Amino acid sequence: MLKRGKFWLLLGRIALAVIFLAAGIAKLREPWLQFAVSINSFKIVPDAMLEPIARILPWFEVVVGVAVLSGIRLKWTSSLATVILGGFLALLIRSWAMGIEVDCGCFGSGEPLGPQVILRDSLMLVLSLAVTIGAFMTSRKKSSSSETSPQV
Amino acid sequence: MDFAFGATSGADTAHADNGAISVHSAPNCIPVQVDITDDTGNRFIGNEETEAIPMNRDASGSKFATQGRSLIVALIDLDEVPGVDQGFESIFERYPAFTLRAEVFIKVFEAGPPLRELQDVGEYRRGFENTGCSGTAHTFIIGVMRLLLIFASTTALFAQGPMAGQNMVAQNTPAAAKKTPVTVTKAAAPAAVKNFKLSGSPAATITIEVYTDYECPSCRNLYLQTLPELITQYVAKGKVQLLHRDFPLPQHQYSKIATRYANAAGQLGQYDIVANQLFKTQAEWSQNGNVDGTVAKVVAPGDLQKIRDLVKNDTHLDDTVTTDVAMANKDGLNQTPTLVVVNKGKRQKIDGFVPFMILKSYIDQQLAKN
Repeated sequence: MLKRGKFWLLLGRIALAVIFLAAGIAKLREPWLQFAVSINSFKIVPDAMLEPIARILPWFEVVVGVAVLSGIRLKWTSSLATVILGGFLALLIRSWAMGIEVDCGCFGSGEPLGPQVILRDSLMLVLSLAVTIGAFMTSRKKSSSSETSPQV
Repeated sequence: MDFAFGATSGADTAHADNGAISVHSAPNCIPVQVDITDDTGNRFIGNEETEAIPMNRDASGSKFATQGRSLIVALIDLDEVPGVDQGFESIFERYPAFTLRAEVFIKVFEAGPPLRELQDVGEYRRGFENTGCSGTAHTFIIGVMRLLLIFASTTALFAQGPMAGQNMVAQNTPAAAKKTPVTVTKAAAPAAVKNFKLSGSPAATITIEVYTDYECPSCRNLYLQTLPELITQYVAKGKVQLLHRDFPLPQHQYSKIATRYANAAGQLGQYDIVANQLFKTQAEWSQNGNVDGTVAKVVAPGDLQKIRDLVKNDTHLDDTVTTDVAMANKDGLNQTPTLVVVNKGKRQKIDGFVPFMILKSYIDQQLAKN
C-alpha cells in the first residue's frame, strides 16, 4: 500500500515539476517584455513593478520546479507550488469575472483567458494539493515509524 | 521671437515684395499665430484651430480667393486633457511633442469654376528635434518658404493676366482637367512621403514595427499613450525607426475602410493626422461607420476630395496592407496590437498593449547591446 502511494506521489511530483519547469522556461524563451505585457493585462501591478516581476518570476518557477523534482523538503516546496498556483488561479478568476481581456501568459504569450484556461489551472492546483497532502502524509508515516522503532 | 520670413536673405528677399509670412510667438518662444500677408497688404490670420478664414479680392479682372489656416496636430489625446480649450498656449506648455501646421489654399477664379488651385503646407514640429526654443524651427521655415514661393507665383500670374503661366499650373477647366486632372496641385501639394508609414532615421539600429487595427481599443491605447512618448524620446532622436503596419481584423466592420482612408491620406502626406484622428474618435465611427465624416474634421476640403477619390478608385491603395498582412503571417501574428522589435535582423514579437515605461527599459537594453 505504501509502495503504491509512493509511486503516485513520485508521479505527481514529476508532473508538478514539469508544469513549473515548462511554465518558467517558456517565459524565459521570450523577452521579459512579453511577460511584463501579460502581467500588465491583469491591471493589478503598478508599472514600476512590471519589469522586476517579469524578470524574477520565470526563474522562481524554474527553481520551484527543480526543487519539487528533487523531492528535497517536498512538504514545503509542494506547499509553495500550491500557494503560487492558488494565487494564479485566483487572479485568473478575478479577471474573468471582471471581464478584463487578459493574456494568461502561463506558458508564454498568446493565450487569452477563458474557461479552458481556468479549468486547466484548477486541475494543476488539484494536482499540487494532492502532492502536498501526499508529501505531508509520507512525512508523518516516516516520523511515526521512526518513533515506534526500538531505540538503541 | 519672431520668424519674419519676408526678411530672409537670398532669393526669398525678392518674394518679400509680394508678400510676407510671419510667425509670432508666445512668451515661451513657441509660435502661436501664423500671419500671411499678400502683396496688397491683405492679411489673413490663422489663429484658430482648424478654422479657415477666407479672403477674396479682385485682380486683373479675376477673382482671387485664398484661404489659410493653422492648426495643431498634437500627438496626444487632447480630449482627455483639461485646459486645451484655453488656446494654443496651453497646448504648447503641456505637450512635449506636437505639430503646428499652417496651410494655405489659393483658388483663382475667372467665372464659374476655379481656374487654378494652389495649395501648400508649412509645418513646425516641436519635440521631434532638439531645436528647443532657441532653435531654427527648420522644418517650418522650409515649409513656409514654399508657401511664400507659391504666393509669389500666384501674384506674378495675376500681374500678367488670368491666363498667364499656363505651364506653371494646370487649368482646371473641364477640357484641361481630362488631360491633366491631378496637376492642379501637383507642383504645390505637400510632398508625398516615399514610405509614409516609416519614420525616424535610417541610421537607427532598431526598428519597431507596430501592427494595429484602427477599430481595436488596445491599439488606440497604444497609439495615443505609448507611441507619442516613443516618437519623442527615440524616433525623433534617431535611435529608433518606427514602421506602422496595418492588420485589419475581420471581426471589425469598419476597420478596412478606415485603413483605406489613412493610407489615402498618407499618399498626400497626411497619414499621421488622419491616423491620429481615427484612433482618437474610434468610439464614434466604430459605432456609426462614419469614417469619412471623422476624417473630414481634420483635413482640408481639397485634400478630403482627393482622399475620397483614392479610397474610391485607387486599386493599389491596399497594396501596403497586403504586404503588412503577409509579413504579419510570417511573424505569426494572432492579435493586435503587436510590436515587432527588429534589432540586427532579429525580429522579436511582443503581443498586446505595451506601457511606455517598460518599452523604454527594453529599448534601452537593446540599444546598450548594440
